[in-house]
Amino acid sequence: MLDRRTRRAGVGKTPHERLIFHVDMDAFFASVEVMCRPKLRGLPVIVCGKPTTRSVVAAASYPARKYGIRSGMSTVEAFNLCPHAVPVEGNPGQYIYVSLELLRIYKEFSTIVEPYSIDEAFIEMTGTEWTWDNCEEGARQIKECMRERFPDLTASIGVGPNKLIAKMCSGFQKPDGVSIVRPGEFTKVFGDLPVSKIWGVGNKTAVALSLMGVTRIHELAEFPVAMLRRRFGIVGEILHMMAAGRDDTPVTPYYEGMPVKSMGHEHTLPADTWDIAEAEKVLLRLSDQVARRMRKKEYLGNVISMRLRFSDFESVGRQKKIEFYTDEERVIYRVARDLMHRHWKQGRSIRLVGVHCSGLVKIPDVMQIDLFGQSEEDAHRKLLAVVDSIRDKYGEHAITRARLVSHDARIWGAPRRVSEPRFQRMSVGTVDPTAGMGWSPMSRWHDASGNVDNKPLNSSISTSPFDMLRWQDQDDRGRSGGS
Amino acid sequence: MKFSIPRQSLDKAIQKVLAVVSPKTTLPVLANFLLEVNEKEKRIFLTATDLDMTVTTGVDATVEKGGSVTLPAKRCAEIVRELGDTDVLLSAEGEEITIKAGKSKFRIVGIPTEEFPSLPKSERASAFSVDAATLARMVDKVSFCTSKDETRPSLNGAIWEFAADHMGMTATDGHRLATFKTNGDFKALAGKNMIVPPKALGHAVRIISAEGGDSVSVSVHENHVAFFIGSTTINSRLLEGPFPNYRQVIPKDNDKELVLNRESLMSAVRRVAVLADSLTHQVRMTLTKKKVELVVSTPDVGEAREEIPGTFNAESLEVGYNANYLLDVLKHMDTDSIRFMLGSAVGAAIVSAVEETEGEEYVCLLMPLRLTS
Repeated sequence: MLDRRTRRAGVGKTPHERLIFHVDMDAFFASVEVMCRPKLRGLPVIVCGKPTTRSVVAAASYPARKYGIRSGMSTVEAFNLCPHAVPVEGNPGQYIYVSLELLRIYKEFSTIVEPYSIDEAFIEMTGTEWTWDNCEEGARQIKECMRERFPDLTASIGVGPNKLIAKMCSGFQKPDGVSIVRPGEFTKVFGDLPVSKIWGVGNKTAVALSLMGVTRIHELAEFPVAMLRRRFGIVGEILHMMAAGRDDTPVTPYYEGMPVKSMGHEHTLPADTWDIAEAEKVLLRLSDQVARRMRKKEYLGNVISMRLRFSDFESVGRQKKIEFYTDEERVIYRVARDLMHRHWKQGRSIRLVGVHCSGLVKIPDVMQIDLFGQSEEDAHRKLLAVVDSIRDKYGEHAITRARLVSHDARIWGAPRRVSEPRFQRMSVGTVDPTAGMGWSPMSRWHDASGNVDNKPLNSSISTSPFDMLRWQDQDDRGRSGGS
Repeated sequence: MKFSIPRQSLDKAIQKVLAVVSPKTTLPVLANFLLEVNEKEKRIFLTATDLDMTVTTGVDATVEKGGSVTLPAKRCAEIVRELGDTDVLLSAEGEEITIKAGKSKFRIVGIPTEEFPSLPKSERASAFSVDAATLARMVDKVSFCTSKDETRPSLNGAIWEFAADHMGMTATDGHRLATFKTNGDFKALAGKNMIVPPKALGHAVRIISAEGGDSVSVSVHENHVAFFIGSTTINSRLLEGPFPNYRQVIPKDNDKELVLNRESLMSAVRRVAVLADSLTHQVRMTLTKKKVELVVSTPDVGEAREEIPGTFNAESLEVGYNANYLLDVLKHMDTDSIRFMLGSAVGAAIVSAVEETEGEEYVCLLMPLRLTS
């Protein structure tokens, strides 16, 4: 194995001499499931969410793909195409484990490996023992090592002089193929393909280009760059470069750390809804999850985006930059809700709701002190800290907003019973640290049978997400002598 | 509806209300002006609203026939701006408006007047009068402190308070506070207060400078306020309180006094802040008996230091501020020499002029950043 070890790659080489591999696992999730359960071998396996809920196909094995099943399709649609498909619930932990193991294999070939997604990676082979003359052998050896470690997994490898070409050609011979596009061969290989085949060119850009009379990649490469710049801005120049197969982006090794750009969550509803209040609840829950993740990773963000997908699969995504940085769900929710109300038209049924926060910065070590200091802000921060610590100890579903109690049970599965030992330890009642703060331990409400929404709630437990403000206002009313 | 009017008068009137028309609106009619022609008064009235604020302005015209119509604000403003300096003839039939000037002719489609939202009623008779220059000065001094954080809605406006012998305005965003008080006879209004959105205050100041005139009439209603400035009326929704008890947070026992030159501090802060962190904008100030040292040190960016003379009456103290907040406060002080009254490195600093203007009191509060070693 030692002879495969590499030298630090890429130094002193001009870009055209670069040698990049792009490894794309074939039907990754499905292959991992087949590897764990060999009796599934050869069957049309689809990896999806809980079979009882409405979900989408995350991956389909090659036998399933023969029936036309593709990832992203709804499971209902998949079963229509192939009634005997075998649904398997996804197991993210397993995929992450295999993905990390695969990275170790790649690192035996080069020190510079960039994981691009859970099942894709770029390997900078420039400067290693592998050159353009023996690159095919290199790719075969990577596949062989992979097969030794995980017998059911196969990968397609693209070899190119930059990331763009490597990525574009890895899909040529799927599954289990090796495709090589040498320097100078880009136009010959890709020139006649439609522009939508360029990595990163989506349908909308393809349509915009076709309106300019550009449909093939070679036509785009020959198109005046000034006109592209006028139509697409800076992206126009990038498009022109990509159409000529030029790309200088480096392979960024994961251990150098890639900055987190945004955090977000999306959720496909169990059933399409016309009721904006229902979508609002999902949005609140997602905002809560996003804010919780940001606090955990110590990030603040100032750009909030909302995404809706309607039942006709049309999507709308809008974002808003706010004046300050935040990691609180009440702010994220409020902005996202406003965006949702603005971009949802009555009568359109909603299929998916998503919320993201970007413009991320690490929490600074200096903090602006507040004039009204310890009252509102600190009370809310304390509340968030309590909620976070309860979730750290008892799990994410241990505490939720009162407004979401019955909703969570419906959408995210029923809360655990009070009789479960870990909930009995939690003090509910007199010394409940969150009493009256708009948060309720799930166990407390679950015990009250029936539809919690229909029961009059204790006035101290509010159902609004912005209760804190109202209490603050009440507090102020009590204290205010100034106005 | 038919009238003619000199282009310049119409343009001036349009400019007074145009700022209220929001570029993106959910209700199409809000992108339009309401144009009312009064045959008896021989005047036309232009109204624009964003539902929070409504501005109406009147201007004399040669009226042939009265009526009302709404017309697209931005397009109409552009047309009038580009016309030559002649009389403009406007006529409307149904929703179709014709604008003629010289040899130019435009036909624009409006929206029926009935769709324009109904406007709050305010009577000029019940209004009280305020000196226009004082109001403009007061707004300028405090409105920069209003909060943009929607989670604290009452801080999104400035509180305007009246007592028998003075009136005052205060705004805060929780990190800084500005309060301005001016003496006068306000017996009739004593005890009244209201939280006014900064957009309305800012627009009132703009109209004051456009209209001229010495005084502004203000009438306060349950949930809106009206400013009558010359021929223009601004109606604005008031914000719901309560405004936090700001008097309570103004420290009474800050005994450390720093006196320095405003201009030199301002230019030094501007220089060192170039290297400040883009999130915290932190400037660290070390105060000693005879000088103030400003330090900005940002990892991966660099370090800047500058010393300026100043007198400090206590042992040395290190305190950090957000450079932008500090500059905002300094910009709004009038005098050359300013005073910082400090208690501790984590308490509010009271910033004021060393020599105050007669009959006025202007104080700013600035909260520091909590410094780590």
